[in-house]
Amino acid sequence: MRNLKNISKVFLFLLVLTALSCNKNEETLILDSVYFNVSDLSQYCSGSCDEIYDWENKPALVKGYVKGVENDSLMQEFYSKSLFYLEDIRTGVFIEIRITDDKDAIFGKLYSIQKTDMIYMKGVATPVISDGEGGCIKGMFLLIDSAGSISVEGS
Amino acid sequence: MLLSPRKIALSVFLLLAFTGLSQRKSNWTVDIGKTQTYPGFFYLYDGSVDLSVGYHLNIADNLFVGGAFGLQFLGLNGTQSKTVIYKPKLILEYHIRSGKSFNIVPLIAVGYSFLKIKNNEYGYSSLQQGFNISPELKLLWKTGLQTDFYLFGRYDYVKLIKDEDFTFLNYYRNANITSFGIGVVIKRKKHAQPEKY
Repeated sequence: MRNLKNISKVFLFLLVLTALSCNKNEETLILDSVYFNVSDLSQYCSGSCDEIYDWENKPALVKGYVKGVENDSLMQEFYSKSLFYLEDIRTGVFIEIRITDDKDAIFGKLYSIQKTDMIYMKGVATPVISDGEGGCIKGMFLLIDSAGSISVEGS
Repeated sequence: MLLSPRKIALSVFLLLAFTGLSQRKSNWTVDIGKTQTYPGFFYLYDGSVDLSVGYHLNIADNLFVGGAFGLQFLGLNGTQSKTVIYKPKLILEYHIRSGKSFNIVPLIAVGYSFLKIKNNEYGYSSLQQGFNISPELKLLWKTGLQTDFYLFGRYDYVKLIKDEDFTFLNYYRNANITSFGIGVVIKRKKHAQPEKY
């Protein structure tokens, strides 16, 4: 019986330790210091609708793969909507990139890349509000206005 | 702290070989389960299979220690992103009698896991690693024969070591995975008689 009590204590201690390590606060990221992967940027730039965050309307560097770049009809649709998506192929997370200017040059660059080319870009992290089942959530999209803010690295 | 998979595997093998020489009551377990992922790096992954082989040595009345080696296979739906988690662990478990034919077995395991993350389509490959803590609960059906059977529920928490090429966020350094499945206990032949525990 004493053994059982001791085991229970160890078990409880380890569970509390696990819970504590899961709830550590995130670091503060400076979004234009290095190229962040899409997952990091998407996770960092999300939160409650009631708060104003340090990343809102700030420049951000991001790297990832263009989602659907091998699909011409999808890219045509993206062109007509002046947007495309950048994906982290490790996690499946993607972010929306909205184009405010220089659309022809930007898509000219995108049409020349391969699916396996990682692209690096600089834009402005812009907050967006969405209502889901879990209530109001703040997310982000990236605004870009120049083909010069995109560079490509072939894999 | 970086440990190599080879060193870990060798340590577990030596531990199992050492305990295997013991005259104490011992058994092997083999189990298979279906995994489920939670917020963190693998949130969008489909859990698939969790396989585990363990060796358990009776050290006191109802108390067992041992080692286990687990493999977990995860895949990102509709893509070629796949992850294999290698999980060597040390185990402490306690058998609580629950009627004549059943034991409830709470178990705690600690280990060091290696995650091989790959996407062949993009030529991406990464090896991440970190400490693993894994509470588990089993419902053991004692058949009175050389093999017993159990149902298990297992939670694996892996805290990956810091690698900024992989991620800057703690959120993605946490892997939370549960598995539910079935297993078999294979007792050493000379201990296959009716059990005390």
